[in-house]
Amino acid sequence: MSVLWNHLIDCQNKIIEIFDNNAEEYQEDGLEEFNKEGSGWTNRTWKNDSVRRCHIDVVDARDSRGLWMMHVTVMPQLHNDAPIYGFDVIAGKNKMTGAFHDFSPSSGGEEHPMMLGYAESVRDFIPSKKRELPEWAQNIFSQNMLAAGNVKTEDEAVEIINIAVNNLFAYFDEVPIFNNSVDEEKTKTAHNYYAYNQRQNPHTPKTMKSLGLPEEDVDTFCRDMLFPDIE
Amino acid sequence: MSKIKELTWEHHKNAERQEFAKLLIGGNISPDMYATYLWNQHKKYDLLEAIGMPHGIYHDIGDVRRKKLIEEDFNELWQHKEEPVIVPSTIEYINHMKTIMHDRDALLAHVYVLYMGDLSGGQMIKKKVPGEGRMYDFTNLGDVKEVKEKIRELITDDMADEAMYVFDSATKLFQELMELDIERTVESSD
Repeated sequence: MSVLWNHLIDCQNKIIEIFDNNAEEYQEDGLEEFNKEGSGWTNRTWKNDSVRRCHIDVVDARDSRGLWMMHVTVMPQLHNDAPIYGFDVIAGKNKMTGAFHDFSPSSGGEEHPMMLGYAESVRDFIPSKKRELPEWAQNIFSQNMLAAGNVKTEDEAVEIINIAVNNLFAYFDEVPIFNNSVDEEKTKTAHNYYAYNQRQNPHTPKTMKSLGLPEEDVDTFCRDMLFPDIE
Repeated sequence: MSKIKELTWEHHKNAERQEFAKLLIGGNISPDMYATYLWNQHKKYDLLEAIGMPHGIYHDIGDVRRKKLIEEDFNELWQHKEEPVIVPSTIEYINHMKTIMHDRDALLAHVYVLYMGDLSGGQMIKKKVPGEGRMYDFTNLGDVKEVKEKIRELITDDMADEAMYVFDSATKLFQELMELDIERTVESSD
């Protein structure tokens, strides 16, 4: 076992607990195919009056590939102009090869009050190695996105995890304040723009395939389930 | 009645004069080059359709969306492991859309140029491109003329500047595709 993986699995459990305490779990059409017990691939979704989709996606390939991956997003309801919560981690036994966390602007824009709180939370965190962001990422992530690669020390990994978990607590505290703050059309457009750019991330399917998941399943999942458009 | 056709005429013709457009119309384009074109078009249509839906555009004109059909055409033709190149003008288009995503009129200018192109010139090249040419198949919508009319009804002269941008973006795409190191044409069968 590894200390890092233990921290990450604790983090996964805390995130699920936060979702359970704040929202109601629901079965999303088509997602059950990618949530098979024993397969090492978990996909679960929750929602409440303020958030329309809390999604946790975990691929546990510790035994087969020596890797563990988690992807978490929270999309607000369409009447709510709050930012989109995101946290992604991929980790080997002894290091996080990538960790990304952001409150990404939605219909409330870069100046949304929750964005300011988020910026404050990551202000003092300077990862040992900052990543250059590609175009699709620059289109949607905030200027204060936490992007760290090659995180080898336990302290730094724990700090990233704590920031992401504390910000999820804060997110659920604050998001109801912004219910009925915006026209649905504006949020739909912002969410679809976000989803479109996320779908341009070439690393998502590559990483999932490198974890040993079937190629066809990964392609379907990334195309239709991970960041679906709202009709 | 909008004069957008006249207002954008030069930009439209300039796109049609490009070497790439001639390859398409002549039916001589290689599957790889056409698939690279489809890949870049898919980026544009996927985005336009994602942000156009919340504005009710496809409710008003009918479901002309092409994203899935372009995907099918692309999958039929592209036999390589690596994905095709995304040319600079496509990236520029994606960035540009961020600035207009909440502007329904600007999005309608894109609808005008792209779908009217598919419904008009697209019908002529449908049989000349490699593969099934699903992208140009509008049989699900019934009368193509009616769909074109519905689009025209929503178009106004003040959308001309944005429509010119879309034509110019297509011109750049055509030029950039010709600069790529792809086998461009298929050998004539006779």
